[in-house]
Amino acid sequence: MTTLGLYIALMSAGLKGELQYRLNFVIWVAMGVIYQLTGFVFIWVLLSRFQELAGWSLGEVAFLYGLRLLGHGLQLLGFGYIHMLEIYVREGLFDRFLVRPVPVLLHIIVSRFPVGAIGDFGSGLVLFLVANSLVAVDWSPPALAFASLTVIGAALLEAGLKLMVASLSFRFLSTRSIVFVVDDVFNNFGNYPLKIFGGVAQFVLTFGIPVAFIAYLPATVLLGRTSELAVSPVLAYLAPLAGAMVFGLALLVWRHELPSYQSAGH
Amino acid sequence: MSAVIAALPVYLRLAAMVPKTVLTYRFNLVMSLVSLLLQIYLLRVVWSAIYANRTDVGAFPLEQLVTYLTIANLQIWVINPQLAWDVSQRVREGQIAVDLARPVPFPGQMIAQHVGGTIGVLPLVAIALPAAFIAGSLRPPASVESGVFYLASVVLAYGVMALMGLLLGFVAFWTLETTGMVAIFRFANLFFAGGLVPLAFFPAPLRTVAEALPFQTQAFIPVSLYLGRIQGTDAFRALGLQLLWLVLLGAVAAAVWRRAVTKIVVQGG
Repeated sequence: MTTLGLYIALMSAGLKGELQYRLNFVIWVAMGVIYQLTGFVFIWVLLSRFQELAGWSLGEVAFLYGLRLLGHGLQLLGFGYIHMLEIYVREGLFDRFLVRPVPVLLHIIVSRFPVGAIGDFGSGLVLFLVANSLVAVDWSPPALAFASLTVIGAALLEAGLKLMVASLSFRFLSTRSIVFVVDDVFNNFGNYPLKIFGGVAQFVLTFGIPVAFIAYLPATVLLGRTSELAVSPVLAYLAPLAGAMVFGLALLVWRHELPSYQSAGH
Repeated sequence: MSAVIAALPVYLRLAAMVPKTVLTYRFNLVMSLVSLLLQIYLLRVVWSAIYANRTDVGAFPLEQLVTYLTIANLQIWVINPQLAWDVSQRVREGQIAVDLARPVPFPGQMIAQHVGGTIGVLPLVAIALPAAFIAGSLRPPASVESGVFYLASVVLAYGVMALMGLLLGFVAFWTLETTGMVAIFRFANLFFAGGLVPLAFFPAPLRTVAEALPFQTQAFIPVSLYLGRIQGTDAFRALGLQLLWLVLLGAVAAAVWRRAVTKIVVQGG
C-alpha cells in the first residue's frame, strides 16, 4: 500500500470512529465554525462602520480572510493532530508508534480524525464564496489553479511550522504552548492586508514567521493589488512554493530530531 | 454571611494553595501572555489603519481608543474565568467527591481558589503592563474620581465573571463535558465585553443585544469609567448595573447549585 493509500484508509477509519459519537461530532464542528466566525465578526463590525481598511473594502478583506481560512482548514483536516506528538512523547505513548508497520509521522497525523477542522474548512469555504461575489476576480483557469495551489501551499506551510515545533518535543517535552502561539499569529495576523503593519513588522511577517505567503501575497495577485507590495510581485506569484519549501524543511528537522527520543518511564 | 466569615480561615488556606500551582505552569502562562501582547499590538495596528485619514471619529480619539483596547484586553485576560474549566474538570474526574467532604461549601472553595489563582497571576501583570505600554499605549485614568470608579467597577466585574464561570462549570453536573461551551463562552465574552470593538461602535441592533448581556460589565463599563467616558450620576448608574448583575447571577448560581448537588455522578467512585 502506498503512503497516500494508507493515509486515506486510516483517516476514513478515523472519521467513521468519530461519527459514532454524533452529538460530540456536531459540537466540535460548531466550535470550529464559531471560533473562526468571531474573528470575522470583528472585521465585519469594523468595516460596516468604517468602510475600508488601508484601501481594502469589506469584500476584499473577507476574500483574504476566506482564502486564509481555506488553507488553515485544509491544514487542520490533513495534519490536525501534529500537536498531539508532545502528549504522546511525554506520556510514554510514543513507543507504540515506533513498533507498528506504518511510517511514524504518518501514524501520528492519522491518530485521530480532526473533527473540528470540518467547521474551520466549511466556514472558510462559505466565507470565500460569499466574499467572491463582492469582489471582481477574473476566474481564468490559471487564476483558479493559482488559488488552489495557494490553499495547498498554505496548508503545507502551517503544517510544516507546526511539525518543526512539534519535533522539538523529543528534547523539550513541552512545546504545546509554542504551537498555540504560532497558531495564534497565523489566525490573527494572517487575516489583514499586511501593508497596515510598518516596515519592520511586515518584514518579520514575510521572512520571519512567513504569514504573508499564506493568503496576503496570493490575494494581492488575485485581486490585482500587487502594486501595493513592499516586496517584489514575483514573490507573490511564487507564494504557493513557500509552503512546499517549509514542509520539506520540516521533514528534515523531524528526521534529525526523531533519534533524540528517550522513552519516558521505562 | 456569618457562616462565610466563620469559614474565612479555610477559604484563605484554599486560596493560598493556588499561586504555587499557577507557577508550575509558568511557561504556558508566559506564552499566553505573549499571545495577549500580540493581540493588543494587532488591535492597535488595525485600529490605527482604520483611523488613518479620518475625521469622523472625534467622539473616540485614537489615543483614547488604544488605551481602551489595551486595558480591556489585559483585564479580560486577568479576570477570565478559568473557574468554568476547573469546576467541570473536578466533576469529570471525580475529584468532586473529595471537595464535597471538605467543611466548606464547594462553590465557596472554587471561588477561593479562583481568587488565589488571580493573585498568582498578578506578578505577570506587573511584567505585562510595561510591555502593554509598548505594544499598545497606556494613559493614566481621566481623573482621580475616574480612577476610583474604575477600581470599584473592576471588583464588581471580577465578581460577575467569577459567578458566570461558576454557572458555566455547573453545567458539567448535567453534561460532564463542557469544553465546547467554555470555548464558545470565551469568544462571546471577548466580543460582547467590548474587547475587540468598544460597544459604542456596534451597529444599533448588535449594541442592544450587547447591552442586555452581562459581558459588558467585564470590560466596556470599567474601562469607560477609567477613561472618564462615563461620569457623575451615569457612573453610579453603571456601577449599579454591575451590582444588579452580581446579585442576579449570585441568586441564579445559588439556585442552580442546590439542584446540581443532587445530580452528582462520581465517575469511578
